[in-house]
Amino acid sequence: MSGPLHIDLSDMAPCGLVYADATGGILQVNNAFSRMVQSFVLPVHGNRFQNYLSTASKLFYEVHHLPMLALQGFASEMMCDLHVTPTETIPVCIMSKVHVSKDGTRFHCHAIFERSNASKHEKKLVQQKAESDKALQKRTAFMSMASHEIKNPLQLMQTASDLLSRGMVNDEQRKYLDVLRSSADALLKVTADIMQIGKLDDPQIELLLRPTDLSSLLSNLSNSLLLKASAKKLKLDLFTDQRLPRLVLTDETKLQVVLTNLLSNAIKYTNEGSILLSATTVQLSDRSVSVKFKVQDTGIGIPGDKLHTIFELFRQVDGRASGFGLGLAIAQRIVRLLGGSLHVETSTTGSTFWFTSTFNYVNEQLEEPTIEASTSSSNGTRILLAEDNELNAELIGKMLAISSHSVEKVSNGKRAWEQINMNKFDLVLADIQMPELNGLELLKNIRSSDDEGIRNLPVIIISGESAVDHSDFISEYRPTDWLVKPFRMQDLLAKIAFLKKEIPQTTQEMFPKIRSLCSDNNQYRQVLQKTMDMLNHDEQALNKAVSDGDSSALRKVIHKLSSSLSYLDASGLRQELAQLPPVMLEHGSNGMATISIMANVNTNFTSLKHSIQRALTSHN
Amino acid sequence: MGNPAGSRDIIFSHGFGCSQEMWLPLIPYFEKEYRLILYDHVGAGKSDTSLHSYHRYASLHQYAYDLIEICETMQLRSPIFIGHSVGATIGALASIHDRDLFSNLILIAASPCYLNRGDYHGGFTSETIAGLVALLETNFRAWADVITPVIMQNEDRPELEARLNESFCATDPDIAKHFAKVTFLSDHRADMKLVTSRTLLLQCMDDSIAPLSVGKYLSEEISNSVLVTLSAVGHCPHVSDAAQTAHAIHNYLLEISGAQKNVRSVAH
Repeated sequence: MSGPLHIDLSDMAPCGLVYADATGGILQVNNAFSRMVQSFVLPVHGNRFQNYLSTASKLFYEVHHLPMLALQGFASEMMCDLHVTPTETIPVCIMSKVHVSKDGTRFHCHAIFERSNASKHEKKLVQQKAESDKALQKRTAFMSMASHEIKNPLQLMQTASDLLSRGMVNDEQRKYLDVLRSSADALLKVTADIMQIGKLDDPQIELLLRPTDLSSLLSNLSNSLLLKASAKKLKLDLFTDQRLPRLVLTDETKLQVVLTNLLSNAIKYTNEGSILLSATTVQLSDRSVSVKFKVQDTGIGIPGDKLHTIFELFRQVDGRASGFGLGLAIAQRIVRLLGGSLHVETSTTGSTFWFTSTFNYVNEQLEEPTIEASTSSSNGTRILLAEDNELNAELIGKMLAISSHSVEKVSNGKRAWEQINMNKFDLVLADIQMPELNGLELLKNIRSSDDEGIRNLPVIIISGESAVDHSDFISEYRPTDWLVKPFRMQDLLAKIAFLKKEIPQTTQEMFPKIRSLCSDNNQYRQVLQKTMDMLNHDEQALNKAVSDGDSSALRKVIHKLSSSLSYLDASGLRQELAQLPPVMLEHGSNGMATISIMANVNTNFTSLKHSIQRALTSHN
Repeated sequence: MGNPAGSRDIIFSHGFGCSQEMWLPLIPYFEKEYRLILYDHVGAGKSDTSLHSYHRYASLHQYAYDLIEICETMQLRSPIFIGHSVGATIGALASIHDRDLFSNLILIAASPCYLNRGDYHGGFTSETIAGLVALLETNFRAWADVITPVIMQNEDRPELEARLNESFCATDPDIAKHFAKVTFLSDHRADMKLVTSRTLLLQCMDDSIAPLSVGKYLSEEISNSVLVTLSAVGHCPHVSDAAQTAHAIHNYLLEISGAQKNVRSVAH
């Protein structure tokens, strides 16, 4: 520790320094460390450094800090407690480094910083953060409530003006109606954006990952904005990399929001030239793909001094276009959620916004549950509308009737459930907020019904909240579609038309994966019959393994079953089975937990075999 | 890793507080002769944290089950198992589950129960474990929750982002806290009698986490076991004194194969 000045710098350091051998035996300490532990009865030299740590700190030191030190040659900040007397500790931060002497002996240098003050501030900080989080939550709740209140009347205004414009109106009246409608549209956009920002600020927000076809998402997107672009005589080009995998796991809706915002912005700020939307693969691995999304325009660009404000809320570059300035802030927040960050490059000849996102592949082609083909009349769809707001129900009903659908209206979920069980419908439209039985409970009833026809009934949920807020529920009970209030009638009609088109196209196969492997019905039947025999056999083997308490046999039979179950799309049964071995090992074969899993397993087996039997008879 | 054409497989199971990188110092001693399989427990290292569930991983059995699945998926040929600390317990449980899974168990600084229970001296009280969980909170959580977003926002410094992602023995803070509780509050003493595999117990002279008395306890419970005490200090002899640890393991394996040859020659 000496230099040209021959001063021992270690004693001038504002932190404790400890020099120890590789086993922790202390060789030398500086004054600051002696002062820290001055009242500690343990003699400093020869004692092990770790013995100065509290028991919990020592544990953490031994299992984490010390191995890190040995492996990396240094160990970064460890927050822990140091004994200053045998009964008292102070919070400290320890940083350590390995020193290798000329003969190759390894020594440990530890720097110890007192953090009594720091930890006080930290506690305060954590407390304040909790308070501000709470305030934020309150704000979000308020915004969401306020927006909900605004949305209902907006919905009514839109539908009413839609209805009016379909009747006999003169040109002047039509002009006013258009004003009414476009104002409602603009207002709707603003409320939707505010809602979105509120949602994105919620720390609990999660991504709703679903298998998504990137190429079709992009082409749909560019198609939907083509009109807007051509209205300004702009070219809108789409480039997608051929190497993009067909299906990836992502939050489709959120990705769409980002790209729509970027594209709308590009169109807004470009007066002549073209806009290019591109998606290129930048990295491919076995499990994931990184894609760079780019929106490039030939617009007016963004002045350099304004560049840093464009991602802030309510910021616009000097009133050069109308709007509220939420789009980029939303896009930036979502891109971060998706695990990337939004970048911008700009000049007077145009701007480029880009971000990179990494997706996992979808290995097997995940199919949505097949929708039972219905014998719907060719004219319209029989729709059950469950909505407690009378005015809303009246307007939606009228609109559906105009489009020659037949509508049955009920004002609560309980009535809806009765109707479903009495009459045959092609589609259920259910508001989420209803007395007695709400929309989600109704959906749950439908999806858990014993009647297959009811179970597979298409259900569109209407809600003031986005589907993201109910992602758990959705993945379990699978509504056919989700419509956020307020919506344009044309959106609802488009969804119904889409469903009608889809219904006859979806296969009726209960086991599409197996069917796709077979060349004809005969072979399909043979495979099903074999599967049935195998299931019977394995079910017996499984029950025997459990009653014998034979874990090894149990694992073998589960292993054997799991691949056939994946072909049968019986993921529920697979999950039950996966829990079985550890539970049996822990609770024994007669333990309550084991018995309860086995009960579920056997029920699942019965219903699976039942379905196979039905598939067998229907293909006879 | 190691020699794919090696005569035998060794599978390594790391302990709490680190990831498979913990085994790096030991690798050179085995890579020529053996094919080496290293893995991370769910939640540690680069493992897929989405596979974790608080319900399923509420006991060490699920970790044991994962280990068996790895052996099966990789079609390992009765591998030698080397486990450290809680990783050792996980291996022992797996060997009870499937008696033919491993040819040998090598348990480094193992402890079937870290808590003091009656006459048994595990070394810790439940208050200590609560203290450890609080420490994990300050050390991982504070970093992850408060600092990371700030750094991530700082787009001019991608190297910081990279360093965070590549940090040694990275661990998911929530899973680490849960794993700490599952590990240090578990009591698998009763299971140790059920271990029938040939077992080498390596215990350190001065280990405050798995003291010598625990090693002794284990050697009495596990019928087919040999206890070797290493002069290495601390809880991680494979890191602090890899040479000595490897030497003890080599000796043991040599003795075992010698004994096997003798048995064979008698049978002939």
